[in-house]
Amino acid sequence: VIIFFLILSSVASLFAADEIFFVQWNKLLHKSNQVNSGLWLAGKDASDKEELDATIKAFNSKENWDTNNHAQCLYPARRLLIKKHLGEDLFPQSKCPDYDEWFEKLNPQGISIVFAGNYPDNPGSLFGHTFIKFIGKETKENLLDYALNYSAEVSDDIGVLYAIKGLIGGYYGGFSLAPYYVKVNEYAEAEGRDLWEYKTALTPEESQFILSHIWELKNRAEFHYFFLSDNCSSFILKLLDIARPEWNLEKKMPWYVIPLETVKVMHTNEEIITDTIYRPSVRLRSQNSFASLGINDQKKVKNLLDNKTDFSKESDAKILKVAAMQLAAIHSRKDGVLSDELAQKEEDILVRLSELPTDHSFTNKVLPSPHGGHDITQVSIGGIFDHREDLLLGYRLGVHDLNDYAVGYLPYSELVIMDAQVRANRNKLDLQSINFLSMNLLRPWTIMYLLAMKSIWS
Amino acid sequence: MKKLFIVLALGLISSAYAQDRSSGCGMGWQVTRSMTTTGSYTRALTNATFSNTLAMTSGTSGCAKHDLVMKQKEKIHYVESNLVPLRREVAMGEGERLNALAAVWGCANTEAFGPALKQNYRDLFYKKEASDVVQKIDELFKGQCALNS
Repeated sequence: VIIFFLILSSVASLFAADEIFFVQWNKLLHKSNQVNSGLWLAGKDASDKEELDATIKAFNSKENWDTNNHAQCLYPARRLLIKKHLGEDLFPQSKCPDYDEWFEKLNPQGISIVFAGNYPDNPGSLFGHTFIKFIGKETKENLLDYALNYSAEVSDDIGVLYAIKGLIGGYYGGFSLAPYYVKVNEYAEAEGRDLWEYKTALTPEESQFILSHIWELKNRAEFHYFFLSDNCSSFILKLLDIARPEWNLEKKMPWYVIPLETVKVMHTNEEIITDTIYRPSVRLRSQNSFASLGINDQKKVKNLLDNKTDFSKESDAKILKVAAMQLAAIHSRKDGVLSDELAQKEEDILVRLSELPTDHSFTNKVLPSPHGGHDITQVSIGGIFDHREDLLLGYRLGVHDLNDYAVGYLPYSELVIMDAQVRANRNKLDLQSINFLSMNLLRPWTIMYLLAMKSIWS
Repeated sequence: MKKLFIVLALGLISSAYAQDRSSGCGMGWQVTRSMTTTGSYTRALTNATFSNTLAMTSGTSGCAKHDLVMKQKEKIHYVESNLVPLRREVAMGEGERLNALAAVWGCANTEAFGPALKQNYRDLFYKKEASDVVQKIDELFKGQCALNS
């Protein structure tokens, strides 16, 4: 026992030198926002150093050796971090059957942050949503990677209660892993939302460190989930900071954390995001494919869908393809269920399509990335012509209104949160207007839009 | 009362990105709440494509512990999850889901895979359930990536 403590204390003297270790160590412990004290071996009030001593001691314990319950199997991220910074020989490595299998299957080589844009025609969803994608080793196919979602575990509360509980942290956050194709189907197919995959500069080693930390938290941690602050996106920043403390992303956010804004923060440092993949929703792809046709071909598609022409006589694969894409978009609009008639039509069109050579591909318009959009908070100053001594001062907390440049936002829409204007002169201050929340969506009547409305959407 | 309204309104917005339910068990978490004011798109497509068989075949053994698809369930899980867009891509002869399908069958980078499926589209996909599709594709390739003629 004495020798053991000697080792510990000699290690302790090395610790001081390794500042980065303790920064990361501290982040692994989640002392500030963690509810369940079962996450710590030395208890809630212990210092980080005491927790470290307790961890190393538990890692050396022979009890539960090579089983899932050994401390090394409960805290694989701590194990990685200690081994890396403090030396390989502080403890022998225990086997962890469940964790090893899980880790081997995911074995990430990198991490992407995926941003799901707004629902079509819904300015209320401008904020977006983010989740993590672990880029797998053997799966070269993007869709076969795994996605990690962090979200509130919501019970069946009624609307008002749901909102209030969500705002004051009445729900816990929970993790879910699913194949990425499930998430793509959910967002880009069913909900009609575009996806942007931002590949981070995290190395395989750092990505694996994050994954191992997820294992630590998955079944043991309990975080309060706050819709506006401790949410899906702030958690992702937290994880990125654990792997690369020098990025320090969490500190760059105000008290509220909006997914869209976290994507912007990730672009404040050029080294964080190395690549972007844009994945347009099925509705957008369908619109693009229709728009790529000449007016005669568009008519043909419409006739095909309206039963005015016989699909089996159609020999232009391009027409059939666009028709299939229109049905795909309807799939997505009508909650995934086509009428019997349309379902039959889709079956027939696809069979006919499979008999024809299809070498024609559509190119998709690439929308501007959401991180290129303007900042959300606005301060304004103005005057009044016939009251030159008066000054108009305005402040808007967020997010986007019709006067703003729409790049990166839903065009012709606005979502205004906390917008106030005062009129001031030497003698007094008048509140001119105050707007807590408003949403607007305009339908511009352009030629293209009328054409589109006249076609299949009618 | 006004305060309550503000709180509710904020909640409505946040629900747009915080609404995922993550029970972690089965597919129930995909059901969305009709909370957003200007229309909520349910996840019915995802739900519709997951029939009851998936509850048995998804291989989420002990859902809290493992949420990865078991190796032996990969094919059925993949086809069942993707059936609607997948058959479209097979008929068109191109697409990401088709490429991933080849990878799931261990035939990544096999050029003949996609064309073979397209050629046999009617037999493989016309009015077929996911389990039939898996069986038919297996029969078509008989454990090899080159077509058995």
